[in-house]
Amino acid sequence: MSEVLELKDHLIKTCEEFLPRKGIRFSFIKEKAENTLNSGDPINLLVGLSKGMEGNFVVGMSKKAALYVICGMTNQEEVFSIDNIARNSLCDFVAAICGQTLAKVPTKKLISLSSPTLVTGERICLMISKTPARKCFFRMNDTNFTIAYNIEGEL
Amino acid sequence: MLREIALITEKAFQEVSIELLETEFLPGKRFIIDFPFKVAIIIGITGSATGRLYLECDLETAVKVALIMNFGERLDEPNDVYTYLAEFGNMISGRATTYMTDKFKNKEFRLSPPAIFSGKGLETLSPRIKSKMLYFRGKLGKFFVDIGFEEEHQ
Repeated sequence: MSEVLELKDHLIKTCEEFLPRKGIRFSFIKEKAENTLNSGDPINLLVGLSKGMEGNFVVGMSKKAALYVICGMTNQEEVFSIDNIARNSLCDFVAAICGQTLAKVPTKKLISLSSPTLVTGERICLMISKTPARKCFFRMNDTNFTIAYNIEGEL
Repeated sequence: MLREIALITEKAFQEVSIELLETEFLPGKRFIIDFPFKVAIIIGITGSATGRLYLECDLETAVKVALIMNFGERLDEPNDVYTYLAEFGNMISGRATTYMTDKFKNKEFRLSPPAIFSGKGLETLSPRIKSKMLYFRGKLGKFFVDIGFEEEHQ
């Protein structure tokens, strides 16, 4: 039977494995069940899932957090703007986090990931499912980032 | 392949608009949605090709669509606008992928659930995707649809 997955532990484990390798310091703050319509961050990265599991996975962050991620992903000491290479590296970041997290889910089903999409703007609201989603809050250096997800599937 | 998929998506959009909203949207020249608050629906595509379908309109158009989908009744909750628009996007992408599967017999397309973003100065980008943009105008407003796939699948 299909069930809504709890990914908090897998997400924390993935961040522990992946972020320090990119020189990003982080700590887990909390997980919260969000309303169907959530307030988003100025920079959002979306990956959709289908086949073995269905849902959406959104990493949200401030511009400052995005610059830290870009530094880590492109191996640079400092980055000041978000150009095309930077956007690509942000998409690689979300694909890596999402892929590595789902690889920890004990299922034999094949999960397909869609191409990552970057969404930016002011006063963003997002709805990733008709049911409440879960959102994990993380501290990254001196700023925050969030990972919202609503994934259903059979284990 | 992308050109054919764009034509299929155009057909799916027009059919769903007529069936569901009883209104016609005509494809036309490029435009910019100048209303500051926009609503965007993103539906991931996986299977034989990885990509996404993107649907955008202004908030005013989204409200008009939601009211028609709610049989003209006042919406119980403001969030219903997003739920209805997500359903609209889901129906278009579902119809489009059905046509794609019919057209490209050896290929399989799957959809992820719709994700809805709304905000001021909304901008989206899928760096690995090569896409075709479609612009529709109708009496309810304007819609911008962008369908694309990662370049290795072109």
